[in-house]
Amino acid sequence: MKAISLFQKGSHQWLCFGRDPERDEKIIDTNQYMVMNGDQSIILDPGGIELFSQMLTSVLKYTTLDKIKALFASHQDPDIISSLGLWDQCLPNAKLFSPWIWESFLAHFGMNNIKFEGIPDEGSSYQLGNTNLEFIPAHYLHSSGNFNVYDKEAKILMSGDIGAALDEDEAPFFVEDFDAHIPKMEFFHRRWMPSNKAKDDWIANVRKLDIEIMAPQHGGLFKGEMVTEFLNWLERLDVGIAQNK
Amino acid sequence: MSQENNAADTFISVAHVASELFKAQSIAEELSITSKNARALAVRAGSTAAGFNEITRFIEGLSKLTIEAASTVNTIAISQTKIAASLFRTGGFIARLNRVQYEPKEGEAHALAQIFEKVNGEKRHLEQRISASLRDLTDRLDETKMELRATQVVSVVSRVEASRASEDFQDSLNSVADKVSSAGSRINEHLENARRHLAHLN
Repeated sequence: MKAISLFQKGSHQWLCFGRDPERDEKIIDTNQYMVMNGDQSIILDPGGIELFSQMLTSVLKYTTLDKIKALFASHQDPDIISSLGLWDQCLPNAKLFSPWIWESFLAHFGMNNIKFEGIPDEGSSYQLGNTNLEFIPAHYLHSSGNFNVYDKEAKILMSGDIGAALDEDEAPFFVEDFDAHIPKMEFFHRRWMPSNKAKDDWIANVRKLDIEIMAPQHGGLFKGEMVTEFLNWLERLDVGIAQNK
Repeated sequence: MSQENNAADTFISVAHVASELFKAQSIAEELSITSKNARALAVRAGSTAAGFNEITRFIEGLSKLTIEAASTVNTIAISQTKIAASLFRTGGFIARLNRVQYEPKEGEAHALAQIFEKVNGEKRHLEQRISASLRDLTDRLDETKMELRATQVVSVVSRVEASRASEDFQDSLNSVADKVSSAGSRINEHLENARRHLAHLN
């Protein structure tokens, strides 16, 4: 599994793990993120069962298990958090931050040790070392209980499935040509995102944030001008259409 | 066979055992109705079928025994399935831990050593529980099979008693004997099937 650093200032760091060359081709490629600050770390959307070994291998290169204080699951999908039962055995004192509505569903993945911290619908925040991470509501994009993570200091928005694209394994981590990227994400957004209203509300909310990097859970990340390009494109897109094209 | 496959094999086999016992229980419930009908028949047949009346108590007993056995086996099977599922998960976790490429830096403790120790301990504990539970299940099946041998005796005695009853009731009483015999065989068949599902796990 490849790893890149998205931001580093002192002990405050954002890492992205993905583009795993050992991944089974049937498994969709996913981006996992880890934020570190001081002696604390949080893993955002830690991924599915099949990626657990590679993720743990990658994570241990940067931190130790006792420093991983929390996991965050933007929503309940298996590619986001089906590894929960495995992390549960490695991180007996950690917390899981996830939309409150998914607590009893996520417990099916195995959650005997990790403490569930339900994020209320309006969002909340988490103090990681000296930095504050905000859980921004993104309900119905696509899941009915869904959050992004915003780091004001790093100017990074981890956007979960918003901005997701089905990219090639060898594609660069960052989107370089927006127009060429559209076909990789258009169908996904039209089909997976059920509500134009939810989409528009989210865009209006996110436009107020100072974002340098928008980091989705699949495919290339958006940096600088690409973030605005993406928001403009998504604004024009009609979503919630079940046409398999 | 890998540990994960062993665990999966266990809960699949145990689910089959529970399913066989469920079928046996349905037959036992039919047997219970047969017994109640037989008792009513014996009362109507009067003094010549008095012996038959006594036999219906045995039939009812056999039915009860099978229903209880099915319930016990079901309880063990559910518990066994839970243990096997935990073992399956633990085995999967160990396999994934084994694939983690990690070397501690010089002077550093192995970050995964404690987890390995804990999870291997859990695995041993689960394996012991599963062995004990399998023995319980096998013993219970064998006991039930032994106790059900009596159905054939009850069937023979029923025929003898039927022959003593007045002619008007003989056919009906023989039919009861047939039903007891058939139910016993069918229950036995399901117990045999259940035993076969467990045979390769012991």
